[in-house]
Amino acid sequence: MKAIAYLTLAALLVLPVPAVPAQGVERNTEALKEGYGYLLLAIESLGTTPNKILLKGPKLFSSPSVQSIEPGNNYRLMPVPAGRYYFSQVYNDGKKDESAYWDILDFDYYIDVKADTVSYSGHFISEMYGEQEIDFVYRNRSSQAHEYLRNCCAEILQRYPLSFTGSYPDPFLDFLKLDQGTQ
Amino acid sequence: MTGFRNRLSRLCLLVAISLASASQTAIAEHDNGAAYQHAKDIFRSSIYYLVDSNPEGSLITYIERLDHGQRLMLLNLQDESLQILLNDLEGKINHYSWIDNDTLVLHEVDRDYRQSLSQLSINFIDRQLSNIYQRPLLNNAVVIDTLPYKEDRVLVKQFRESKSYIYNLNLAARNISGQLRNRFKLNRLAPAAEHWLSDTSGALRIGYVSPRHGAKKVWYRPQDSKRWSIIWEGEKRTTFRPILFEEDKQQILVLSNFQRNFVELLRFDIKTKTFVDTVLKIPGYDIESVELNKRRDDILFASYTQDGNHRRHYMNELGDFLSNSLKRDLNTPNIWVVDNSLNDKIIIALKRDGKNPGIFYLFNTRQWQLTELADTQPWLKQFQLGDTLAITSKSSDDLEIESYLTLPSNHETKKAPLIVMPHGGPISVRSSADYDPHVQYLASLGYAVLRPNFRGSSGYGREFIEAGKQQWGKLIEDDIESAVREVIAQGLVDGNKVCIYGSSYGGYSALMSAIRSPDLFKCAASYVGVTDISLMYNNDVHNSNSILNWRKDYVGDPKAQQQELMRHSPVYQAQRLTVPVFLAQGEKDRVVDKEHFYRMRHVLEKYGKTAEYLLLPDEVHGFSQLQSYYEFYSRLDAFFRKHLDLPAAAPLIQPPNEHQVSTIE
Repeated sequence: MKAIAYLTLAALLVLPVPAVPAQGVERNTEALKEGYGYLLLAIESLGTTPNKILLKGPKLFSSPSVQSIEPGNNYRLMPVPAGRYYFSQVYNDGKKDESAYWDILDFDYYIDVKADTVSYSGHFISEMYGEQEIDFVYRNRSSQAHEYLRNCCAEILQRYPLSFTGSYPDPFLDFLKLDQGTQ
Repeated sequence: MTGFRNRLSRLCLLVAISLASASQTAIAEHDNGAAYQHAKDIFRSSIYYLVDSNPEGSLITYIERLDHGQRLMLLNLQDESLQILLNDLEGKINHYSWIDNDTLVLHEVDRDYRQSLSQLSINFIDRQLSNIYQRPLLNNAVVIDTLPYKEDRVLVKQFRESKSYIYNLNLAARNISGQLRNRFKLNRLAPAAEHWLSDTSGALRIGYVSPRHGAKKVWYRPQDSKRWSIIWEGEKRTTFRPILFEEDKQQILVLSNFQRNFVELLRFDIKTKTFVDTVLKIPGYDIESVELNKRRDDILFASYTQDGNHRRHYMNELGDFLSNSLKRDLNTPNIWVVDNSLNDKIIIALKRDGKNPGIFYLFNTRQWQLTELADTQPWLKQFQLGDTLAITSKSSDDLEIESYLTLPSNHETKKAPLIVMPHGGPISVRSSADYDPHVQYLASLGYAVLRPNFRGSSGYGREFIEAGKQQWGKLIEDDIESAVREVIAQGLVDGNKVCIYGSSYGGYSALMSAIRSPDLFKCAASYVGVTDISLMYNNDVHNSNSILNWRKDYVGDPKAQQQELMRHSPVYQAQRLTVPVFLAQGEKDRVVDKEHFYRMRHVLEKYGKTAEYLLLPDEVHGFSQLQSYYEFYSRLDAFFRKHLDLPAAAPLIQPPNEHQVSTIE
């Protein structure tokens, strides 16, 4: 209960912070603060679109939330303190019941943000097709993340390397870099 | 009976006309119109399926597929009358079970994948169907045992909040919900088993979990005890599948390969926890499954695959005798019993082989009379389908590999171009010579199709499966090549016109084979294929430890073997490709995510390779929509023709003339 209360408090506190558009990017290309990295959040919404998605960060006051989610792919790029960020709650579309949400902390979907890099661990996919068919999955689509960054934020990508930080190593992003170097 | 057969004849004619008329529009609208129309013909679903008799053998039910939906039909064998039991316009009926002579339980699945059970009661007055009554029973439930010794009783399993509960329902009672109270849950005090065997009273006695990638566990409960105890625990490589609880002997019949190479039917003693008897073994073959008789107290037959053909070994004299009689009367080894009435009065048999998806027969054992019930896909008679033969080759390490080569009908006058079609998996999956529309589609368009059962395939014993371990892009592809070189050496196909195509692992294999052996393959096509092995570890739905450990063991460890996995992943080897590629993917695939497609497309474009792409927006891991078959296969045929230098496909059915139409009218 205590954890839930803390989370609720944390969520309320952070709600106003990342007020970014659907394909939102914080276009601040200035140098990151020490100990900070870019968190690249990729969310795919299939079926009913969630009202918001909360993450649980390494510090109580560093728990980002994502709002204004649109059907299909949504990307958010935000500077955050390095550390592990868990997807913790997915709220429904808010049309029927404001308070309905799913606790997904146990799913163990997380992103390890490394300092001075853009960290990506996968696309969080929300599938809500009626009450019977709700699922949240996490998939590595780093080629899509790379494509997105290249189009939206080439400067950031040039300054900070995109790094896959999932549970198992993925050589693809390094292969792209190496391959680009040899072209 | 004649009514049913007459109906069928009329239906065949209508089918022929509608196909022919539709082909005109299709040819006009598509680049490869003839192949597109042909896909529409070949990938149509069977009209008749789920043929079953009631316990006393007086009634036969079956599902008849319609243009929109389907219907449950009833054939009354007493007067040979045919009636519609239920119109199912949404096509929800997925399965059904006869519970007694006038009661069925329907298992329905709606468009949102919600499943439910309902009861259908049939009343007759003076042999005439007087009343049909349907009522809902349970949501999220399936039938697990029809309890033939208990009238009006059925064992069902209901899924709720990631758990399953077993109930012994009394269908004669008005109140169903009252039977779902906590104290009526048969597995209330039982371990978390997934599958159950009951005794003749309907009480649960054996429970087991048998995950493909994890350890197996089996529990037993004595008759007058609430206590369950483990009687078997085994590691992932050992098959242990309980089939039948022998109450009188306190033993269970089990399919197992414990301490042996092939899966056999064994008797396991519960008290001593040891195998005491080999009930059946088929030398050189795994027993793939067994079917219980209608009384559910003995085994009707055991199934295995020999030379690519499904074979059944009957375990009782009647089944054996009937099977032999049917084989003799119908002059084919490919006929088998699919259902029998409780009193063995009637037998329903299915004739099926590589060129025929199935004809149902009814055999009356009292009158010793055989009657054809229905051809499931009568329109296929219009096409020249291919014969299939088994081929044996020796791989690079001398391991013997069995493959199936389907030859087009004109193969005697002209050597056919070859499409090699490796199966998915690759572990514990196999190809057979049974009817396969994917194969016959290509064969009827003039291609020979080769399906190798490379190492890792099931049916050839445990050692053969284990030989496929960590052989992605290595010995498995050597096996495939050995089969290709063998059919070329035997002069069965045109060795200068060979392409390779597959789905899932087969797609991976197509790409890797083309990278490894550009001298052999002129082109490669992959549908929902794995292109980057490392993605398999970060790209799953709720990756469980047992699946990840299994993958590390059977595919490779991405932490310890990253360089090796990259050496055998098409994405990292794409620069070596010298032949054209067709890459297709279902956007909603949850097994091989579309990222595999994106990565491969990215590198192919980067290296300027000749490639075509098709992303099917509503498709999953396979084909869920008929439209996707048409789209994909007509593109695939055009791709093969282009790169094998073949003329365009010609229409396979001639358009109807006025005379034919007026005959139908």
